[in-house]
Order: sequence, then C-alpha cells, then structure tokens
Amino acid sequence: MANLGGGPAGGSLGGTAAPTERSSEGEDFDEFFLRILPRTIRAARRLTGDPWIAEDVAVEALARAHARWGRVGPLEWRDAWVLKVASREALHQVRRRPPLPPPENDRDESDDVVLRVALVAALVGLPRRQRETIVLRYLCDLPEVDVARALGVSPGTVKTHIHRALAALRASIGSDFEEGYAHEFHV
Amino acid sequence: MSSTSRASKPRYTPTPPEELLARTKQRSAAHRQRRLAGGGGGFAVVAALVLIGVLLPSNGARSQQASDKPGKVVVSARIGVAYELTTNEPTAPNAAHQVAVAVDNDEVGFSLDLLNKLATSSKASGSGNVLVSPSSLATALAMLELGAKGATQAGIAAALHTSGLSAAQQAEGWHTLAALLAAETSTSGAHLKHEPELDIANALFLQEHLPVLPAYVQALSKDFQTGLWQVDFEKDLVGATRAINLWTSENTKGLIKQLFSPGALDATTVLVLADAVYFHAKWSSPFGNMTLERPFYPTEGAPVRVAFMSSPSAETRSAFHIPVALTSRYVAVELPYAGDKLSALVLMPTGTTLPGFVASLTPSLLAQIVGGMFPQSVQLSMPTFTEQSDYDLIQTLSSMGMAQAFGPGADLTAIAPRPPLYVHAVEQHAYLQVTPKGTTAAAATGVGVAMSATEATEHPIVIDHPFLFLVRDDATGAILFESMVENPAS
Repeated sequence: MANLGGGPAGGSLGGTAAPTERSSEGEDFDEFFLRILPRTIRAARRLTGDPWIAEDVAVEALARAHARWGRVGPLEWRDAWVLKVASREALHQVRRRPPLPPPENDRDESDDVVLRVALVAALVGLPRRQRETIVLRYLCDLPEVDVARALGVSPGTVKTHIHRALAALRASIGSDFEEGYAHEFHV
Repeated sequence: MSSTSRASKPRYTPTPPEELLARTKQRSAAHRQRRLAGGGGGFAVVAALVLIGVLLPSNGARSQQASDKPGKVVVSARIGVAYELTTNEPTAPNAAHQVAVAVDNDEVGFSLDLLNKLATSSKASGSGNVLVSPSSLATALAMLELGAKGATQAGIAAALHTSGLSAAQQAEGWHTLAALLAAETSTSGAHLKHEPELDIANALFLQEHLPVLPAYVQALSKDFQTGLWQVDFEKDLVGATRAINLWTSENTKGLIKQLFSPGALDATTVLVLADAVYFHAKWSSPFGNMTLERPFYPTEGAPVRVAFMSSPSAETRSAFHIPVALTSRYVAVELPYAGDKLSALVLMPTGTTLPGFVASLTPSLLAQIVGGMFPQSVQLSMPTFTEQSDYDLIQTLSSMGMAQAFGPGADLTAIAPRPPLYVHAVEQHAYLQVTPKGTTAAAATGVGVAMSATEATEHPIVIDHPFLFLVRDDATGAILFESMVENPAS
C-alpha cells in the first residue's frame, strides 16, 4: 500500500510519553530540542513574520513532540514531524490575528512584508495537503522523501501536490510570485 | 520618521534555548494530561473509506481504528477517479552489500540483453535507433515478480538475469539500488545547486474489489515504495486510463503523456504496475552554444547532415578533460554531469557495425571499457539529438525467457489467488534529449495484468558514426537510459 514508510517499529508505538527515552539514533529529547529549535523558529518566522510568535509556535510544536516522545523519538523523520506541527500552528496563528500593517519607513522591508502576507494568504487558500507539502518542501527545506514520510504519502503524490500548489500560487499571487518568491520555489 | 517607527517596535532578543526548553516541558505536561483525559479516533478516515467504497485488505478495516499502528490505511490523494491509499508500512532495510552488488551487475546484464534484442527488432523494422530505460522496465518487472510463483517467477527472474538470487534477495537488491540512486540525486535544492534531478515513482493501479493478497501490497510498499491507487477498469475504463496517464504525465514532468497505447487495456484488466523516471542534468563542462551542421554516417545509406555540438578547443582553459579510450575497436568517451555522480558514456564502434558491437557487449566487457578510460584533454564533437520511443515489449520479453507470464499458464497467485491472472500488456515510452547544456530524459513503463478469459585526446574526437549513449550511475554502474543512435536525423 502505498507507501512509504520508514514507519517506526510497531512495538514502540502508542505508549504514553517517556520524555527521557532516547531516539533510535541515541538522541534524547534535550539533544533533539537544541538541534531542531533554530530550524523550527526559522520556519515559523517565515510564515508569521513575527519572531516572538515564532518562538511560541516552536515551543508548542516541541511540547507536543515531548508529550509523545515515546512515539516521535524513534521516527526517522522526527524533524519533519516537528516542522509539520510547527507550520500548521504558525498558519493557525496567522489566521487568528489581523495582519500587521507594513512598516512605513523602509520600502524594501515593506515590500517583503506585503509579499509574505500575500504568500501566506495564498497558502491558507490551498487545500490542506498541498499547503503542507509546499510549506515543508520549500519553507522548511525538507527533501521530498522526508515530506512524503511526514505526510504519509508517496513521493509521487508529493510531486503532484507541489505541481498543483505552485500553479495555484502563481495564479493567486501573479507576477509578484515570480518576482518575489520564484527563486525560493526553484521555479 | 524612521526613528519613531523603530522606537515603537520592541527590539527582538532571542530567548535562551534553555528557557524555551523549560517552557516546552511545562507545556508538554499539560498536553499529556489532556491526551490521557481525552480519546481520539480514526472516525473520519473510516468514514472516508466507506464513502468511496474501497475494498481494504482483510486486516485493513481493523487497522485504521488504532490510528498510529503500522498498517493504518488512509486515502491520501486523488487523481480523477483514482484514489491513493496509504499505510505507514516501514520501508525495507537496505540489502547486504553482496546482494546489492549482485543486483547491480544483473541490472547491467539485463540492460545489455534488452538493448541487443531491441536492436534486432529495430533493424528488422528499418529504423535502427533504439531508446529504452532498462532501470524503469526492470523495476516494473521486479514488482510483477513479487506476485509470481513457479515457472512464471523463474521466467521473470531469467529475463531480469537475477536467477541466482532468491525472490527476497532480489526485492531487497532492487530496493537498495533505487534507494542509492534516490539518495545520490534527490537532495534538497538540487535545482539551485545545478545537481542532477532523478525522480523515480512507482504505482499499483488496482481494480476495486479484486481480492489482492495484503502481503503482496505490503511487499510492494516496503521494497519499492509503491503507491496504491484504487480504480475501476471494469465499469470506468476511460476514467481509469485517464488517471493512469495523468499520473504518468505528472511523474515525468509532462514528457510522457500516456502509459499504454489506445486499446492496450480493456475491461478484463485488473491491475497495472507502473514505473516512471524523470532525469534532467547539466553537463559538468558544457559544450559551446553554437552548433554546426556536418555529415553523420549511418550504417546503411547516404551520409546525413545533422547539428553537431563541440567542446571548447583543447588549448583553451575550458577544454574538456574527461575519461577517454581510443582503441582499434571503439572510441569511448565519458561525459560527467554536474554533481559528478552520474555520467553519459558514449561508445562509437570503429571496427564493426553498431548492432554487431552491441551483440558482443557483456557486463564484463563494459566494465573493461570503463576501466580502460583515462582522463585526457580532448576536443569532442557529437550530434545533438532528441529521441522518442514507444515499445510494446511482450515479444521482446518472451524471447528473454518470460513467455509464461503472457499466457493462460501464468501463475500470479501471489498477487491474488483468484481469478486466474496473466500479463496482457507491457509497454514503455521514453524520451531523451541531448543538448550542448545537458540531458533531459524520461521513461514510463506499464505492466497490465488481466483476468484470463478462460482459465488459463590530442586528436579531435568526432562521433560521426552510429553510437551508443548510456546514462549511468557512477557508483553502482546502473544504466538508467540507453540509446542506440544509428541516425540522429531520423
């Protein structure tokens, strides 16, 4: 059946959290936390544009990983798991609060904010799977195979989602997408 | 104005990681309490499966109840009338080194045998050119072999040159080979780093309600990361074919638009195994942008004028310094792709015709040719060309030993114990474009299974004569694409 695996060994699933348990690669939660934290904050900041909210989003995602460490720790793609949870939470935060007015003092920064807001708005409008695929692949810089594992789909499906999502983003953001984000999406 | 704006915005100072870690653990405790107090369920998944009326393997309906157990089945994507079902089956571990090496060698043996057979039939049909992706065909056949038993399985193994390995070893070996290729090329940001793109996808399109054995589907998932798609060939052949073609097109970036010729599938089709490959890479050292028309000499007939690309002059700093072998029997040139993991091997026989040379090629001779090449500064000229091919491979594969799979005597009971199944279509469609900048290629292979109706150097090198063009993985020697170019103009 489809896919894709890399699932954890069945016996290690489902238990209550065991925060001090080491991952399959011998990494305990604290080591994992310190390694993945900067990347998680960076991904959340790209979506929210706000460093304080980004920190809070990272804490929330890592707290969920900690609460399920017995299950998440052995995953080969635990990085992708945390980034997926963080990106969902970041988009949730963006939708909950009104968009920040762009700063008036700096033309370039203002342009960046407008573009980011447009991108996030367009992302929010995508179907969930397409949105998650785009965020994990391009904003979290995960390879396709890890995106596939994190979402539990085949690499072929990841490609399908990316293809459709990029077409939708282009249609939604128009020329600004090409100018502002095309390089980021390798198109 | 700017100072006012800055003053109103507090300056961000990153919180120390230790403090964030403490906050994380506090919040985690709250999460754990909430999880212990509440339930959770796979209801939505169950409902979705019931709504689309899919038939799950016998243990599937149970497995989705426990949301995190391996084997959970969910609908993860849709193309037209086809639904992709997904489980979290673990991938197989990579094979032992010896098994992986044996399968690599077998793949080369299969590639050369296939090329030889296609060259013979191509000569008979008068065109002379051949283009095929042996790795794509081998993967599709290896997926079929997992579902075959007895003489049918032995025939497929004979065609694949893997008779010396057990079925489990073969599956592990193919899995390892695919994993090695994927690991070498599927890196994040490959486009930006100008590294080769090599995308490989596998799929099983399955007739609704076919009592397929869960072990077969699990093995495909584990060894080949095959996506499972549910379709209805019987009631909606057009929709199923369209979904298969769309999958093919999306996994070859639009270069291959259909997997089967019209009429190849019919209402008796119960499953299709598909493999799609897309390859795009720039040369490590590009040719000059200018092309020049000059004569090319086909084995038969008059010279034709075609566009040649040329490397920078051997005296210049950007001259090609590449592995070359010049012998009385052949000229061999290796053109590395950017990233130095894959390369194109160009072989032009000088003492014999191209079909004669291909007939004499063996894996050990190929290894000898590659081993005898040394880096030299050369000026190289060769044609730019674009090839396209569409093969019905039943005759070719029958002559390679797997005839039994195509008749009423086929034993595919490891796929489904009933009804009796046989292979009624094997097609490959391929595309190859070689330009001064690099290579773009794609191939898609489809295996259609149906119910039985009845129970049954210093010198300039000019590649101006017919040549072989092999796209190879340098580490494993696996041949991804192979093309016999008798006439680049045709």
